[in-house]
Amino acid sequence: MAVSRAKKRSRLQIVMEALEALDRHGELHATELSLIVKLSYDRLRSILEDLNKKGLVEIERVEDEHRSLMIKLTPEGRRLLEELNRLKRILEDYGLA
Amino acid sequence: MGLYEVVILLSCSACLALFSYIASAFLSVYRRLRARSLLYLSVSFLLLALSQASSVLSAVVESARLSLTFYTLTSSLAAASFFLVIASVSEEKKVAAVAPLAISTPDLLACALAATASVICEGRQLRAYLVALSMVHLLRFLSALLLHSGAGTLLLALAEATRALATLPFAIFHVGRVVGRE
Repeated sequence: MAVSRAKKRSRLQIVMEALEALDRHGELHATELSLIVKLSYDRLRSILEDLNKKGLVEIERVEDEHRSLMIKLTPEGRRLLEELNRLKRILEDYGLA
Repeated sequence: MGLYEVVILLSCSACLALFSYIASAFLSVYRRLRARSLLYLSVSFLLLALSQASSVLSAVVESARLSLTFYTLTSSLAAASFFLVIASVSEEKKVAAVAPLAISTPDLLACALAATASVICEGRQLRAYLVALSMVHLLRFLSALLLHSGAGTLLLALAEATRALATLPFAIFHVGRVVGRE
């Protein structure tokens, strides 16, 4: 049986996918986002905390039984995504997106 | 200033403006995201812009020494820029490039040495052969680097055929010089 090897993504690619998903859905639970970007929850969480420190996403703890995290884009994050989308084709050409 | 210089200056000035624009676009995103690959690309385009500026300066300065300095700086800056492009891609891709590079490096050396020999040697015919061989090795260098693409295979076949055809007259020329004396 042929086993297909998943292409390793750069951190920049993962960040772009996460920002695009948040832009599309408005806001997402961290677990939903980890499924969409196909990344383990722990690794995604460290990326999200970094993006939060930079003011690109907002992380809110939901007071439910799971105490899950709700993620949404900030206006600054949306502006960054617009700029990244403008550069997307050239980033793809260089294999960075 | 002749038409040739005007065209070169206009072209370099346009490239300087365009590369600076792309560098600033990457820098703007880098400042917010702090991804190293974006910084490398930004600096890479900045170096290309500086390379164009250096090219313009080499054409406009009056001092021959300064002009030569800017001329050599043009390619040094471009080389630094391409180095940063390589640095910006993933380790996985860099490893994939090692094998073709290892195969093709002797050809690049042969190309440079044959070209140097063509400058040093006296005979016109010999010089022409050396220049041809230098070009053939350059072609082989490029084809080995591009081997993963369809064009690389075609280029390698072309380079091999050209090498064989160019080397034969080169060998006959030398033998003819020796035998012809007797």
